[in-house]
Amino acid sequence: MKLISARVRNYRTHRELVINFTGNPTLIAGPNESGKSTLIEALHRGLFLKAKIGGEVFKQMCSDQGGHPEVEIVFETGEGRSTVLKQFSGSTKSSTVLEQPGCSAIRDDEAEDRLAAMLGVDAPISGGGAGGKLDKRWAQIWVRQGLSGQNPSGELEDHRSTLISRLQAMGGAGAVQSELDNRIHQGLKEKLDGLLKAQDQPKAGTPLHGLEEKLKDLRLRETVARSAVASLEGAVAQMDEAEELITEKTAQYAQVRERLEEARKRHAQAQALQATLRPILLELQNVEQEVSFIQRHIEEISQASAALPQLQAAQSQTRTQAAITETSVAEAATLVAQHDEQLAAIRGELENAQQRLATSRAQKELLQQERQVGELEKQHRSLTKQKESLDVCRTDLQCLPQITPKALAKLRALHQAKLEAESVFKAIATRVQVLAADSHLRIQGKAVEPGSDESFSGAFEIKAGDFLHLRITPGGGESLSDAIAQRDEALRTFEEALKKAEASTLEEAEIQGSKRSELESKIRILQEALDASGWDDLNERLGDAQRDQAAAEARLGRLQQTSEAWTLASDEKTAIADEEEAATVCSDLKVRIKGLESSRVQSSLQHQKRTDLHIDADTRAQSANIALVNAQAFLAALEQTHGGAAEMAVTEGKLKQRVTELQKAKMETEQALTDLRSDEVESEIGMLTASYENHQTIIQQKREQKAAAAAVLQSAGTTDPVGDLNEIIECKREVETQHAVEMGRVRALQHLVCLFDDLESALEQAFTQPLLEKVGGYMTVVFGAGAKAEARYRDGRFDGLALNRSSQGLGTHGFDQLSGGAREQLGVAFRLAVAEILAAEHDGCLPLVLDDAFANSDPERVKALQLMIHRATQRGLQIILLTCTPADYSGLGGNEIRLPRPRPNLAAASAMAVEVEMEEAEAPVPAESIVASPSVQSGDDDILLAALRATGGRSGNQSLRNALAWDEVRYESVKNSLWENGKIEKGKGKGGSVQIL
Amino acid sequence: MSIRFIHSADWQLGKRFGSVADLSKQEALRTARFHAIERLATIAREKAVDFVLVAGDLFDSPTASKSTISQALGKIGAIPVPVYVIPGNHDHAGPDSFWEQDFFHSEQAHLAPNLHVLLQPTPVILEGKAVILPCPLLRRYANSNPLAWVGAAALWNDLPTKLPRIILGHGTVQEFGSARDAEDDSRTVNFLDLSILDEHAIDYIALGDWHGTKQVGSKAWYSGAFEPDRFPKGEAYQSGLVLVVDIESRGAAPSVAAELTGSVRWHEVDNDFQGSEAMAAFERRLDGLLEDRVQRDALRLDLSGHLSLEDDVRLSTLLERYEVRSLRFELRRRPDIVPSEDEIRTLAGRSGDPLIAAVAAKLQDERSSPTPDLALEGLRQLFAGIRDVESARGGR
Repeated sequence: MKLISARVRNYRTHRELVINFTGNPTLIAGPNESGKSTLIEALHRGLFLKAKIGGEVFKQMCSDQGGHPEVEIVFETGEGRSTVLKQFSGSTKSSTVLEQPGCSAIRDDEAEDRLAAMLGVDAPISGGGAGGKLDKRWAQIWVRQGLSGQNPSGELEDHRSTLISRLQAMGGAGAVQSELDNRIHQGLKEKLDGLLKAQDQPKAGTPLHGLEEKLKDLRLRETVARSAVASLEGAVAQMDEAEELITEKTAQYAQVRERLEEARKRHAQAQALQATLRPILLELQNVEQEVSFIQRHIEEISQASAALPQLQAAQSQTRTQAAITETSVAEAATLVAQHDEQLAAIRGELENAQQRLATSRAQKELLQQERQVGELEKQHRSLTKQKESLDVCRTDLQCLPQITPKALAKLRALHQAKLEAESVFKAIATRVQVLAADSHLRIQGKAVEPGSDESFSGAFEIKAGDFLHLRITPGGGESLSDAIAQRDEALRTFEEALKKAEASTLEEAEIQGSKRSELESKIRILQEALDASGWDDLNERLGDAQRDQAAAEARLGRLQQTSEAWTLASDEKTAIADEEEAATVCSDLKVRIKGLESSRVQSSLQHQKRTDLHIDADTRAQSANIALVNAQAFLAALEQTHGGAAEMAVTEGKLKQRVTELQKAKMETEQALTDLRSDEVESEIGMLTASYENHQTIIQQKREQKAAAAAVLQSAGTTDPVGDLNEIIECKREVETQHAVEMGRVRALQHLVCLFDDLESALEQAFTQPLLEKVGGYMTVVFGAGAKAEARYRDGRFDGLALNRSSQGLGTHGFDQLSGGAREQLGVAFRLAVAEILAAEHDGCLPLVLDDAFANSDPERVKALQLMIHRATQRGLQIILLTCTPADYSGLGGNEIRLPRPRPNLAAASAMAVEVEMEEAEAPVPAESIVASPSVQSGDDDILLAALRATGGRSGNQSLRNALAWDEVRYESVKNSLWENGKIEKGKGKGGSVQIL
Repeated sequence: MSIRFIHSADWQLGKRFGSVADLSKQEALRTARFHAIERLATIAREKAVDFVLVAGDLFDSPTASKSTISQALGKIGAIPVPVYVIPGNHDHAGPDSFWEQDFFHSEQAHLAPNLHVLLQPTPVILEGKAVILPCPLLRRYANSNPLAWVGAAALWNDLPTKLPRIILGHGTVQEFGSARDAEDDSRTVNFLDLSILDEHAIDYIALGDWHGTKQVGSKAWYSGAFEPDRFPKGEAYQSGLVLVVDIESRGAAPSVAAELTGSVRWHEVDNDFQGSEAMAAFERRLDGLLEDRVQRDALRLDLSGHLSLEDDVRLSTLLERYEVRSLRFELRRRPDIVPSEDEIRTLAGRSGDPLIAAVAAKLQDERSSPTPDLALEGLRQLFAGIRDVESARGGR
């Protein structure tokens, strides 16, 4: 189907407009308000809206200039050219005429139905809600202004069945899933979702879950029941075991008891024999003891009698020995006494001699001491004189100034420096020597005599008489002043040093210095002599000597009082001789005493030795005597107690006879005991007793075990563990069977859902592939090679339209994620592809209307889009483009139709509007109007006011809106803005009215 | 001396039926056994019997709960004649059994003084009536013939010569052993060697353990369980009966007649599904067998052959119905599902529903894979799902 031409009359702004779609594409250009969209709307309604229409839809089409809206369209199908003319005159009077090639014209309903069939739609749009239906009709290829950015996959309603059948034909998939497919698929999925949760676990409340829970519970209960049964069976086993052991142990117990009784009998016999044996043994022991006693006594008497003569001889011998030693002791005592007497005499002589030695030594020491004191007193006097002369020298030295050789040397150096400074000064200063002068010569006001010689460091004046007056200024500058300063400094330093040396001149200082040196050396010599003579401790030494002399006198005095009066020597020499003589006497006496003392020790030792010998001999004599007496007493006692030896021999014979008898009886009894195994019988009894008790314990334990097991069995009863277990096992078997069946069902359902999912995807892909390939073919122009479209066909709808640029590294973006421009571009590609597919059902051609469809695309993309459009025209599509910027499409070719500029419905209104525009443009915009209506386009207010003025300042809302060709939103917002700003007033009436204030 | 007595066995009171998931059904099966005692008491009264013999397994467990014991003793106390019982393999005597517990003795004294528990293998002389030779099981595992003591020749010399002699025993004789199933949880087989007995010296052998009524010698009978508790073993299997035995005099042949005491019917149904009409025929068969009885039957099905998907859905509906109605339901085997060509076409050939068709075709392929069950079950669920949706649509 292809549009050939159209004529629009009395349709809103269009009084009469004829369009010829001669080229392809057709570009309908015109500025805003020129009626481009209105023209497209008229064409759309001419094709799809039943002419007999009233109400709001009809009113919107009417022109304020009167006349009924009329649309006539010539179009071409495979059958040839047809013309449809629709005259819209409300719901009853409207008419439709359709002329087809080779047929007579048909009218009204017949024509409408025929037209709908030719356009491939169900029926013409009519009646209530027609506006909404119109919006959807052919929306896929009839893109109204502002809707190009919408997802085109959602606008397929009108063409769905055609598109699907075409795609099925193209894709070779044969079919797309039906509603039943979908319903069954969803139903199975929901069923499975209801059964299983993640990881294929059954959901709570499902039969499978119930069975699994039941199984879990049964397994637990089975364990419990088994343990209850086992506990009962255990108790039975314990009873049985106890019973068995009791029987076995009871039999053994009897045997042990028998053996024990027999052993005890033997034990009693043995004990009786032991009782018989015991007195025999006792008597045997006693009799044997008696025999040995008697034999010992006989032996003792014979031994004692034999020893007596020997003892008597010993007694007499020891007595003789004791008498001899006694005499020898007396002799030794006498010798000791003689030695003691001699010693006493000589010791008296020694004492006397020692007294004399002491007296003569004391006299000698006194005389020596007296002499020493005399010498020391003499030395003291001489040294005192030396000391006095030293003190005189020191006093003299203190009177002299403190001029040391070092100070003197410094003084000399300062003096030299002073002299040098003066000579430097004199060399630089001006020297005036008066060689001859009269009496009036004055220098610096001071009269000078001839011969005077002065130096000046500064300017000075010389007057000679009344006429001669000279001013002399010396040269030298800084050198002179330095020399003066140095000279003054040297002088000052030198004088200070002199003053310190307490001298008026250097020479005086020199004299004083040498005097000082002489005195100092004299003092040094005197001091050294004094130090060498021991002056420091002389007084001390003198004192000591005097004290020693007094002590010697006292000592002599004491000696003279205690001893006889000796004649004392008067001099030192005699005193020494006396002392030596006395000493010789003393030492002689000491030698003699030493000899005597040695003899005394010898005699004393002799005496002691002999005394010891005597005591020893005496002791032996006494012992021999005692032994003899004892032996005699013992023998006498034995004979008195036991009688004589013969008597004892008889007794011995009798006793020996009794021993023999007893030994025989003993042997017989012991043999009987051996026969009874009496040694082992006790341990046998011990062993058997232990075994006996052990058996008793075991039997007791087993009885207790049996009783305990019986108690367990007795206490069981309110429940039935065996019954429980049987029931659980049965029940488990049943539940396991059911579980397996249910599991099989669920697995099959899972499998079924998997198959549905897999095959659905495969079907979808096969189905959408041809469409997506076509979309891709258009898209590459804009988005480059490799760009692909993605979309799914599911549940009877296309969705998930997306742009895949993975091969360009840009990923995949859903339609809604794309920018406005990209949405328009992908959208138009999709629309072109769909239209191309649909065109096959319309004799290979379909018109595709794009009303201002690329508002968001940049100029580069618009150029690419032109290529896309060109490609579409090549493929048989009729493209009708509407734009207010025809320059953008300059490269497109085809036919361009320009609509005139917008103008109000009346020529007068138009002129006024122009005027108003100019006036308003010059006038300043009131500030409040901008603030009050910021959302309204600035020109809209003026346009509405101009149009209102054109109708005489008053109009119905509907007719004014129609005259402006505005949509309701725009009109209402501008109207309200003007009303709020007090420019217009709202009036009443059907649909409302407005009036300029 | 003519006597008449009831021979019964295997009451197994307190039996739990753990394989039945529904607790109320379990309880109904358990209670049915107590009601059977009431019917036995009625027969005892109507037939004016001298005593009742129970040949073992009065209780289901040697550790029967106190409540079971009291309930049982209460019912036994209502029997108008003495009741002689021996312990069997289920309720064997021994230290762990309730027989030895004070509680049992006390309740017996209070509720059932007519009950005589024979725990010793010694002759019991019922003065003027009969001699009972009890062979009680005293241990869970009796490793010698419990009848052995009766075989000792010396015994017979001391017995009264005029009184009929009745052996009371529990165990299996000769070749037939019980095949195990869910209801038979006995883990022991006590073999009774009847060959050691002198047939002329004995008048009747009252046996227990085999739950079907059966004569096993000229004077030896199993009474069978007085209330059926398992699916029949073979065509001749009869259960839920007691035997009323008349003995004219010592040495005379006993006259034995069966009386019905059981209430729950246990059915075992084998069905081979072949052909398109098999499902409908099976439906008629079950309906005929069970009629409108609710909770009065136990049903075991062994279904072989094959069914189409459609018939399988019908079978599921049918089975659900009878599972609910039965006290015990067991499906041993289910027919294989073999989708018909039509069904495969309907599934895999759905041009309007390509996804379903593709899934069905894939499943059909997988039927020849190593996991055909998964594929078949998948096909079944897919088929059932579509049927549900379509029937919902049709319903609308």
